Amino acid sequence: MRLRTLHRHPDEAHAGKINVTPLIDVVMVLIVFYLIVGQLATQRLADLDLPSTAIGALDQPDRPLVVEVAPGADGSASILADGVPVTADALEDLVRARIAERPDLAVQVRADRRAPYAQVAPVVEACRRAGLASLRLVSVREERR
Amino acid sequence: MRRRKRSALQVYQGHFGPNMTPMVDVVMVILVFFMASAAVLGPDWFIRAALPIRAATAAITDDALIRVELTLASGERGTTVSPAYLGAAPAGVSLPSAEAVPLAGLGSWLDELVRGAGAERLVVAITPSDAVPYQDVVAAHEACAVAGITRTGLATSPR
Repeated sequence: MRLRTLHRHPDEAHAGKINVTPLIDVVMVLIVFYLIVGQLATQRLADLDLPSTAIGALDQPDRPLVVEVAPGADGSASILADGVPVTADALEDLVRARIAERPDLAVQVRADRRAPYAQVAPVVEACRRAGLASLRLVSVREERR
Repeated sequence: MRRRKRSALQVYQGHFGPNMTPMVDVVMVILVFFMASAAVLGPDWFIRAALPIRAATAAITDDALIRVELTLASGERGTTVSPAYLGAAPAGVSLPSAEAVPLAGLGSWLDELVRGAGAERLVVAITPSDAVPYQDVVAAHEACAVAGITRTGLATSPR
């Protein structure tokens, strides 16, 4: 009796190999996914406990200026414009320059809900001095009370 | 006649057309990518606050408008709101008394104000003091929006 397992045809020897092409495809796409999302997430999201509101608007403006008021360990706060630390004066110049480029500039303010208003006021004043007409106070949507 | 079972390689070699497996894999991952990115990077929920210029606000000469300043102050019992009317009320308009109310009662006070004056005639400036938590500033804006007041601005005390 001839044992097939011992005398395989040369082509059949390849039948048991794993096709790694789909694995490589998926891994590559996952790498790109994490690169993009990681970069975008660090650009725009400081670790902030945003205020919550039941009403508001939902909009995704084209190239908004995201201003964050990040609380520091010593009770002070730093201002980040699109993820870059700036002073209030520099923020004013930045907003003025961006308004010159885009008169309909949308400025989104993200600040911690527990932050005293004194930390947010410099941002408000800088935007006002730069000629901005309104701000978007970003919040977390909550169910109607 | 008995059919001989084919090996995996024979099955593979007998297949016609392109191999769809990698494409389906990639399409599925891209689908997940867009679903996840839409959730993470989707539009923000926000409340709009106007930035009135003090000089311009003071120069409003439209007698039909009723200007109200809401000063937020932080105390031991939370944030209180002190309303103040800027200018005289138009004749025949009944306005609620400008007494300080807790933030939780601002909605009721604004409802009464809107009933007496009409939301379209109101211009509200919110002036928070330094110690007021940012959440309460946003809540005051929210209360105005709930009451139907669209002309709400964020004023800051001169520093």
